[in-house]
Amino acid sequence: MSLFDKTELRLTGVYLLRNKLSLAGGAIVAAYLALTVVVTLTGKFLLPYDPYVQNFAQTLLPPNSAHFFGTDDLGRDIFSRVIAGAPIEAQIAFVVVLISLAFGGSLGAFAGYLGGMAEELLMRITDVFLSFPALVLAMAVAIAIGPGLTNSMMALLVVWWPWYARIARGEALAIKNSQYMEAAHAAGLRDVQIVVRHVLPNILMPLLVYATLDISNVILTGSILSFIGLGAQPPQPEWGRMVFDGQDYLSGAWWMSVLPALAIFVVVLAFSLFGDGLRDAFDPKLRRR
Amino acid sequence: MGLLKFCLKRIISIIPVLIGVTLLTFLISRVVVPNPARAWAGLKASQATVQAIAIRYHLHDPLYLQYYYYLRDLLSGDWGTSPVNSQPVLDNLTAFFPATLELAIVAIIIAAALGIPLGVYAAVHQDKGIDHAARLFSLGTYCAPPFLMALLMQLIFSYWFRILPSGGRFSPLYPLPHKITGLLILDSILSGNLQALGIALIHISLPALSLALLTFGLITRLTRSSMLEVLRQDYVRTARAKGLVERVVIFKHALRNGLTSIVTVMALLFAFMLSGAIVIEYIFNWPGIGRYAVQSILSLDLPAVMGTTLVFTLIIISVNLLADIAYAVLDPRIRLD
Repeated sequence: MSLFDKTELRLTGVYLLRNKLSLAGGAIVAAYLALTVVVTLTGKFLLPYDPYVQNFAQTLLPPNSAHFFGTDDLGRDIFSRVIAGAPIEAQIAFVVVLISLAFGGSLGAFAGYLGGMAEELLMRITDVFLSFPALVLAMAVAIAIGPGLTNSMMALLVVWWPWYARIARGEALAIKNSQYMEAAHAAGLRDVQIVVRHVLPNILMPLLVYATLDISNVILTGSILSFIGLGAQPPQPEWGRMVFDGQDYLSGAWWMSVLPALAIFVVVLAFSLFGDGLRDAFDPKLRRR
Repeated sequence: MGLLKFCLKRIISIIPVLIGVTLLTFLISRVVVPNPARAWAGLKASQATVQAIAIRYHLHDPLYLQYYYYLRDLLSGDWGTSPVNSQPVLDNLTAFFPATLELAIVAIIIAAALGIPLGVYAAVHQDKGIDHAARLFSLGTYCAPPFLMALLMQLIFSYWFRILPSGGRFSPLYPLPHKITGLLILDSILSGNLQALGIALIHISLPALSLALLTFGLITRLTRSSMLEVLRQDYVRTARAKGLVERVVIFKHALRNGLTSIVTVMALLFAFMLSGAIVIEYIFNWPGIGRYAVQSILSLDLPAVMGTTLVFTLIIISVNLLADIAYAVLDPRIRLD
């Protein structure tokens, strides 16, 4: 390839642009996670206002220099509430994704490795779970166990693990007949040892890449659960719930609902862009698409 | 394998899924719930009512018997009674269904009308500026929470410009069109009532547009990737070599094949759309199943929520089935396996 190969130059430019988007997403993700850590460690200390304190002399103020995002119907500073709520979304996303990854992933790895009845059974069970629209099943579980932040995470877990089980099973099938598996067999390792020492470490990477992309889905679905009243309960500053509380005031005080909704959008988009780039980087076949 | 045999096989294959789905909804409403009788009778119900519910739904029997009664009730149309409005859940669901169906149809038409051309355009101009703009735009709409879309629409068109109503399905000041199908737009057309048609269209525009924007990104991305696949095929090259105009090659030869693969993801699209409809119907006060679901959740109405869950899941399973059959009709190779 010559240095002035136009097609190649153009392609490089395209990758750069594509990477730029993912990099921008990655930067926002990093900033968001840093914010989460800082808020979790310092509590209300660094916030301009206490996110819980009501001030009836200053209700429904539009965004201004004292209140960047305005105030809500109870006179609370929306900017402080949005910042204070940042760790909640991250907590939901990481708890749900990591537990689904661990539980679904190991179940799928065992099923894929063992094959036969175990595999068939797991696949049929995941079929059932995946027949439900994710939000709708989460909704049903959450209403059954009662609203609340922990319960909404449990509801999301019920819906989320089958995806990981399926992916892990597929990946485990793909490596099942490789030579190092045969070697492990020949060395006299038991099934559990083989799965833990050889299957899981080898299928972890694709699962992690998927998990990164998946974080945005969890945040999105979690925020909808909170919006319809099944997540964190007031006065906790959870973003989806803030949107719900603010929507009655839309005509007069749009900032109350639109700004927390925008916060969700920015975080979801950032995780998506970042995850997209990560997937492309790990799978060269996808680069042309 | 013939088409008929394929259809039969596919229909039989959903029976275990249906059993699994009802088993799961059964477990959620009878086992996961801490106190099923109380939940089904309502939080304010008297002790006597709770007892009556427990007997009515055989809650003291062993679980396998309870499941049998549960299935029998479902099949006979007894989906429980809402403790909040004291009406049978199935009656409520059938009453609210046409509004959701109408909203979903209009939204899917809008999303396809916008998304397919954009997807084709992006594929033809792959890696150009327009392709990146389309990618970013569709990713943006895909990542937007449904309430953000709906609130922005309402804010801009109803409150700032005041050109479209902020909610409802029809104006209370005018008579409804003669009821034929329950779909207001269709009924207005069938009865030749232009005034009603106008009112119905004005009311559906914002919720349908919000819902369409949600699925728009998905449709654009799918069209783009399947068009990229098709445009590299030999027959497309042949069509070009024959000297056909590019427009004919793309729209007559490539798109027709590109669209068949979109059929396979219809269920995914519908699932996405129904989830969005839950939030969007609530915000626009659209009297469909989605708004019913949210109102039931807010009043902790378990039978109603379980009914909604079942209806939505049955819709998705049927769409999946229809999509598979449609795909087999469009592409005979599928029937072979």
